[in-house]
Amino acid sequence: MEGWRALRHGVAISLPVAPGNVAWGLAFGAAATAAGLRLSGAVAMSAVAFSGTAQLAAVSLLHQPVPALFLTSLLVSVRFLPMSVALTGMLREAPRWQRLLAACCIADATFALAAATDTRSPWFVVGTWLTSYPSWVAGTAAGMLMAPLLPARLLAASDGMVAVIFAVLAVEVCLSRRQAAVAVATAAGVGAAMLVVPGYVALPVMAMLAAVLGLVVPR
Amino acid sequence: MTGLHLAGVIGAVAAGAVLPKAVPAASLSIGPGRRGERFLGLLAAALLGGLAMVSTLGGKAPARLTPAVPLAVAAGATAAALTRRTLLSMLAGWAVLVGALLAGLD
Repeated sequence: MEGWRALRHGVAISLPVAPGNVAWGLAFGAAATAAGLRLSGAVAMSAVAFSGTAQLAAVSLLHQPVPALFLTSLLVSVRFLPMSVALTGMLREAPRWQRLLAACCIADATFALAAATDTRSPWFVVGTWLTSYPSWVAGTAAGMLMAPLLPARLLAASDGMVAVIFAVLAVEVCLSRRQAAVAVATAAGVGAAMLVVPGYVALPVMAMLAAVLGLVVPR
Repeated sequence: MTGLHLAGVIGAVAAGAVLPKAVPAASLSIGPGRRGERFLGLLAAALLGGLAMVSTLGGKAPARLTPAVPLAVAAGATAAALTRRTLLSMLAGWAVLVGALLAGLD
């Protein structure tokens, strides 16, 4: 009963994030069309991989050997390591298989929701996935079908919609000055690092560094 | 591209995306503890701050800035700080984004 309530809460709380997922899916669908992928291929990739950044990186390297694609996907997904560590801490009372299930359901936005609500239930995370997964796959299909019709501005807006979601949730998760300082320091560090390396590579390093500093630096 | 190569591509992308999520969850056991709890709270805040910056700058290196996006992010973050209402704050940020893009700030 408790799990069912958490699942429904996860579904409900992630509904506002669904338009961002659809917009991001549209952008991937349009990029996949430009790279020559067929509708079935792009939708299958979204359905199986469920990772926008890894998929966007892959469509630009489609004709590379499969091991190179695996390494690229792994590199842009390294940010999920600290997210999974944080989620494991939040769900420490759940059985291991439920923690694993919840970890496999996380994407950037679903992790953000879990962190912002400080959930203790893996079913909450599964609930957020139940909203974000279909909106991501449907967005991909819509992006493939409507790529020639979509205005460039709408595609440019997809990053902006997602950025607003993260900024709002970042503010909500910061309940102390120290957390706010760590969030700002990470953002500044990532922004500086992005002058030379992609953001999703800089993010896990900067986040771990800022969190450790936040823990050891005295008041 | 053959169907087999596409299947390999999809498998490789999925494996690369799932491994970093699954490995810590399958292998770590984090017990209760005040210090651990504080670290995880700081880590969550750090990751969200970093994610906001990455998506504001578009993810790629070198960073590029679409003027409409930081305006929308600032509006959403300010609304969240003032109201603590998620949906309202997102709508405020998105409204500013649409307005700025329509005004040509892209």
